[in-house]
Amino acid sequence: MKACRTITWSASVAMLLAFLLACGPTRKIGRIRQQELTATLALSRNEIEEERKVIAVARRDTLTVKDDSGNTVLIMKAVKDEASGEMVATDVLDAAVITARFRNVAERNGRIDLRFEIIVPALMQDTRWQLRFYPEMYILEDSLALEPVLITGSQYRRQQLLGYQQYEKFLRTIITDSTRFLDYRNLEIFIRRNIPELYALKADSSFVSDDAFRSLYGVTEQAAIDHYTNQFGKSLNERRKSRQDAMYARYVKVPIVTEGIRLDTVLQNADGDFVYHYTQRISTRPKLRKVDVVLSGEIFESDHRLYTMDRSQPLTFYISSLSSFTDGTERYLTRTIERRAAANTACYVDFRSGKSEVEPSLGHNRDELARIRENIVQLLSNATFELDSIVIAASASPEGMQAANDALARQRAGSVATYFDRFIRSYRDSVQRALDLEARNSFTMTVGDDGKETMGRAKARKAEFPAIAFSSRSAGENWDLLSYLVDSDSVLTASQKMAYVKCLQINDLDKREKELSQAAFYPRLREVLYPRLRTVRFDFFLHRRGLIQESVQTTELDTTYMKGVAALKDRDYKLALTYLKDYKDYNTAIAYVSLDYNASAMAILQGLERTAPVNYMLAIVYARNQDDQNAVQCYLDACKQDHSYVFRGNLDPEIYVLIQRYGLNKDE
Amino acid sequence: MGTVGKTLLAALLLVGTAVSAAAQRFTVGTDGMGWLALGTVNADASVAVSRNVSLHAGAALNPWTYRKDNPDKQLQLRQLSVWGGARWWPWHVYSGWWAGMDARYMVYNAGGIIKRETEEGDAYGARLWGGYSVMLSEHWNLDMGVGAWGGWKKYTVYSCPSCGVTLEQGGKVFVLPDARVAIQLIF
Repeated sequence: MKACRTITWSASVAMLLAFLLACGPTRKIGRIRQQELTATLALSRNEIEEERKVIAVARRDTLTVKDDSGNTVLIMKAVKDEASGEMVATDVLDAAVITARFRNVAERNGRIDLRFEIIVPALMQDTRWQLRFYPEMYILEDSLALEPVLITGSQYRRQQLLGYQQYEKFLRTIITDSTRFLDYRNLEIFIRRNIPELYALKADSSFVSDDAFRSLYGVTEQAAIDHYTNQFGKSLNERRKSRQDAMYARYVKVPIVTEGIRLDTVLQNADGDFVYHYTQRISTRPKLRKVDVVLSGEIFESDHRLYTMDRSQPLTFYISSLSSFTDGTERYLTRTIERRAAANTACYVDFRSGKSEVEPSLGHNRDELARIRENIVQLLSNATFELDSIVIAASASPEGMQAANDALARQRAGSVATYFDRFIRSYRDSVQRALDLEARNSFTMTVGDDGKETMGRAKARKAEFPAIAFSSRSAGENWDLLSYLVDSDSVLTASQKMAYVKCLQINDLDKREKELSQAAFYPRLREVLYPRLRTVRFDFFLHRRGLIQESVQTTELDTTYMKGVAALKDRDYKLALTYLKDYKDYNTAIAYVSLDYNASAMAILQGLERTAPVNYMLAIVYARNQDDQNAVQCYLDACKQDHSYVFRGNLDPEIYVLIQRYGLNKDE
Repeated sequence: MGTVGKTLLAALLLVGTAVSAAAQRFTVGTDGMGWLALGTVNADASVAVSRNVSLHAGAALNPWTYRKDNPDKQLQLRQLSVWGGARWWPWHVYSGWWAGMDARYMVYNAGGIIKRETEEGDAYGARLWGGYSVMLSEHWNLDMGVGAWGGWKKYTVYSCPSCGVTLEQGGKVFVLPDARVAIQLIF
C-alpha cells in the first residue's frame, strides 16, 4: 500500500512538471492574444545622424552671409535652449528623435532609400517560436511584398535542424548505385558454367547482343542478371526514392529558407526588445509622391501558426524629387521657309546620229524615259510643292561642226520637251478619267429646301493641274563633262591625258575637235566617252503651295528639347541628359544635379541668371561640395526670392542639414 | 577415412581437372552427413535433363563394426542403400533452391549407439526433400537438403549388437528425418 502511494505521488509530480513546462509558451501566447501585441514599425532614429555623418567633414562653426540689403550677417550653429526655449549658438548637436508616422525622403539619382525599424517586444520572443514579419510597401496603386524578416528561437532552430538530420538519415538508406543489388559472384559462376562462350568474351569490349549466347537450356545473360539481382531490395529502394518528397515534408516541416528573406536570425534568449533596421532601396517612377509601409506578422511553433499579428499602422514616406524643379516652358525653333524650290536630274537619252526624234526603243531609252516620267508624276502629286516649269537642256558630243551640234542639241531638247509635254497632258487626262469614273459610281443624297431628299450622281471633281511651262535649249558641246571623263578614265595613259589637256587650249571648238581626232587615243573618246556626252538635263522649278511671299519665318516646337523635359519630369535623368546635354540650360543643370554630376551642374548654373530655382540648385550643389558658406547664401537668396523655398528646404537632405545646423528659417 | 574413400576422392578430383569448357550438366558428389554417420561411404551422381529437372542416383555403404573385441561396447551402423530420383530446380539446375523425390532401398543393422538394442532389417520407401545448392566455384557446389524418408520395413530387434536374442520381429511403417550437406563436382 505504501509503495502504491509513493508511485501515485511521483506520478503527480511528473505530470505537474510536464504541465508547467507545456504551459510556459501557452500562457505567453494567451497574454499576447489578450494584449493584441504587435511588433511596431518606426522610422529609423539614427537616420539624421547618418545623413550628418555623410556630410560631416571639417566645417566652420560660424558662417558669414550677406542679406538682401547687402549687410553681412553671421550665422552660427544653434540649438534650442532647454530652459529658455530659445535658439542658442552652440557647438554641440543632439540627434533629433522622430516619433512621427511619416517622413520626407529625397529621391537621388533615381533611387529612394526607405529606412525603418521593426521593433519586436520582449514578450513576443520565445526560443520555441519563430516570428515571421512581412513588411509590405504601397506604391501608387501597387502593393509590393518586401523581403520578410524571421526571428527564430534557438529551440525552434534545433528542431528544424533535427528534421534535416532525420531526413538525411533517410536519404542515406537510399542506395544510388544500382549495381549494388546484383550478386556478381554468383552471376559470374553461373555464366562460366552455363554460357561459357559468353564468359570467354569477358575481356572483350565488343558489343554482344543478349540473344547471341544462350545456355544449353535457353537462358540468356539478361535472364541471369535479372535472377541474380536482388529484386526485393531493388524495389524497396525504388519505393524509398519515390517517397523522398513525402519524407522531406514529414521530417523538415519548416525548411530553413535563405533566399528571398531579409534576415533569419537565431534568438538565444529573449531579454529586451529586438530592433531590426530595415533599408529598402526603390527605383523612382513617374508620379511617385508617397510610399506607405505596413507590417504584418505571425508566430509559429513548428509548422503551426500560434498567432497572427494585426497589420500595423502605415509608415508614410513622402518622396521629394528634384525633378519637380523642371521648367516645362515650351521651347521653339525658328525656321525660314522659301517659296521657291528647285530640283534637277540628268538623263541619257540616245538619239540616232544626226537625228533629234525621241525613240523609246533605242538603247536604254525606255528605262531612262520611265525614270523621268516617274519623277514628274511624283512632283505633280507632291502635297507641299507645285510644279511650275521644266527646263530641258540637251548637250551634244563634239564631233562635227559646232554650229550644227548646237542646232541639233536644241532640236533634241525640243523633242524631249514635246515628249514630256504630251506625257503630262495624257497623265492629266487619265487622272480626270479616274475621277469621272469615281463620281459615276457614287451617289449623293441631297436635301432640298422643301425638305425632300433627292438622290443624285456625285459631281465629278476637276483634276487640278496647272499648266506646266516647258522650255528647251541647247547646252552646246559638253566639253566640261568630257574633260571630267578623260581625267577619271582608267584606260587613257597620263601622257595621253596631258595631250588632251594641251588640245583644250585651242579656243575654236571645231579646230580643237579636229586636233583631237588626229590623236591615237581618239577612237576611245569617240566610241566610249562621246556617247555619254549626249545628255539631257532636266531642271524642275517648283513653289510652295499657298505661299505668296518669297520667304516666311516660322516657329516650331523643339521636340528634342521637349522630349528631354518629359524625361526629366518622368525622372529618367540619363535619358533626359541625352536630349538636353547640348542646350546647357537650367533643365540641363537639373538633370546634372539629379545624377549627382555636380561639377557640370555648377558650370551651367553659375552662368544663369540668379532666379530662385537657380539659387536653390546652387545651394544644393554647394552643400554637396561641402561649401556651407555659399550654400547657405544661395539658399537664403532663394527663400527671399520665393518664400516657398523655406518649406522646400526641409525636403532635400542637403538643405535640411544646413537648416538644422545653422538654425535657419527660425522666424517661420 | 578408408581406402575406398580416398580412392573415390582422388577419382573425383581427377574428373574435376579434366572437364572441358562446354556447358555443364553432370555432377558427382558425396554427402558429409553420411561420413559423419560412422563413416558411411557414399556417392551420388546426377544428370540435368532440362533447365529445371535433374535425375539423381546414389549409393551408400557402411560395412564397419566398431569395438568388435568388446561385446559390451560394440556399436555399428552397418548399411547398404541405393536410391534414385529426380529434383526440380525453380531457377536452374545446380543453382539455388531445389525440391526432390527419391525411391530408396536399404538393408541395415544398427545398434549400440544410444541403447544396446540392435535392429536389423530391410527398408523400402520414398524420400521427399528440398534444399539449396551454393555455387562455390566453376566446378564445385555445396549441396544442402533436409527432408524425410519413409515406407515399410521388415525388421528384427536383438537385445545387443552382437548377441542373437530376438526381442521383436515384424514389419511396419516408418518415417525418418534425412539431411544432406554434400560436396559436388559439376562438369
